[in-house]
Amino acid sequence: MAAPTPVPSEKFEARDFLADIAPEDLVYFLVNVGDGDTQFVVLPQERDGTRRAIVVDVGSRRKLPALVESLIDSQLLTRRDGLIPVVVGTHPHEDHIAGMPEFLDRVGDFVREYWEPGYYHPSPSYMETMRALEDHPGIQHTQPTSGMTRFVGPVRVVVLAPQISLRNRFDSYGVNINNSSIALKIEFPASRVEQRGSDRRYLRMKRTQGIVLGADAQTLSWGRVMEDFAELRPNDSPVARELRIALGADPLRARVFKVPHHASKHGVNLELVEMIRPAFSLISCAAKGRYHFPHTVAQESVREALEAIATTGGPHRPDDELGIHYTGSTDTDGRPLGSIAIVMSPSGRKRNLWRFGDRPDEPVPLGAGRLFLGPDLSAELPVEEAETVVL
Amino acid sequence: MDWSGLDTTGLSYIVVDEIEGGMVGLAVSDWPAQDDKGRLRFDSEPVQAAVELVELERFLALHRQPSQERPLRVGDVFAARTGAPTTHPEGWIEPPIHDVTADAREAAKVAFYAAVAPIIDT
Repeated sequence: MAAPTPVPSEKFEARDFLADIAPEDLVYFLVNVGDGDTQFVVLPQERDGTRRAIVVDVGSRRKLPALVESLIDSQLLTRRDGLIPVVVGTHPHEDHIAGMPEFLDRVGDFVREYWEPGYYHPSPSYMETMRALEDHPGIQHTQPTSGMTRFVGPVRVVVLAPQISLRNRFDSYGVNINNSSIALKIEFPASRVEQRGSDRRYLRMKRTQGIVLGADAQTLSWGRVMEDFAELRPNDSPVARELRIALGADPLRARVFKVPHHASKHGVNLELVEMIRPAFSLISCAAKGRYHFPHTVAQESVREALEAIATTGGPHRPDDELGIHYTGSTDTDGRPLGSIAIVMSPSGRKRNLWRFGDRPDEPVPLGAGRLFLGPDLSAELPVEEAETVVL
Repeated sequence: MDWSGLDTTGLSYIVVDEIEGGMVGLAVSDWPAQDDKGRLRFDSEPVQAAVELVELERFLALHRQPSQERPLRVGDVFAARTGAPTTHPEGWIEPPIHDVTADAREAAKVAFYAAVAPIIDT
């Protein structure tokens, strides 16, 4: 393990987080729950002036319900039917679903659908989650595999993993529970049709924003993902161009990457990060966790993919300058940096990273947000690779 | 739930939740009660403990009942008396250690199917 290097305090500026969010923006929260995952994606405002949200894992009790309440109090969210169209329990490890039963008990009336991989786990949180779902029969239950796509308002959610061949092996103990993880790509805007008076036309969208949420998928599962969602970008053949049109985007390219499995040594590899080419690589880990995440091997893979120095020598730039951020890190004044939020505009011109200074057992203080003033790596990418391009 | 006839009074429910880098993550909770629908209920939040894999396997080889020689797997469930967890299992898990994995996996399937499909009344 290599503990994250403290980030210079002067790279943060206290500002009004909520004022940064425009109606068309998407907000991604990676909540600090220590060695675990809680993710909350607030979708862009829809025509009725309200927003919906997607939950991906609830790794601890109390923290996410409190965040949802804060967002409702601040009027970013509205208590409404279908507020949360999808809740994903990526896989049934405690650090991903320990808070799920409580969340469903408290917020289940606003949830439409629950996704889980279909891996039976005889843990208290798994069985209590199923009990909570039984108590909310209005929640549709789904076990997605790779390729499944759900359009939710202005975003498209694509399931990257698990591949069906892995899914079919769960019950034989042939698959590590981490490799049952549901990995997702969230892409926006999903709209492609423009209404002009009484006419409509197809939009040839030039730029979309992508977030890849890696859950705890490890090498076996990512190998299948790279097979299913092969990179198309280097190939400019007519077939590749047609595929890009058909698929709508380079399948794995994304601006924000939630690094799998808390950056354990089995959770990420160089090629995967090279394919994603994220501007932000986000790692959920405790300051001093039981498993000593993040692992140096994973950290170096991410750094090398973002800044290749293996053949030229020399040190990498600091993690924050490479866009790598940890929930468990501190600033140089010793203050915890805590939960992360990224405010993204559909065009990609705005991609602001915020920190809230909370410890794992503390609520996310929305009023105490600090904006990160570091570089946006996408500015360094060649123009044609800076954004997903739909031909 | 019969738990193969085991008297579970005072026992803890111990699940192997994660095996990572030579460490084993255990979720330890009070023994579940059953509600009026026959559902297992875990009222308290499980304590997450980390123990050394090698030490736990050695400890289980001595005290697991019924005795089995197989590697530890995620999803294994044990019943035993416990104290405050440390990384050394012998310091807080009191033998004998009853392997209730088969019953627990069936309980998980019961919980799952009761949630996703209608229950058949007989």
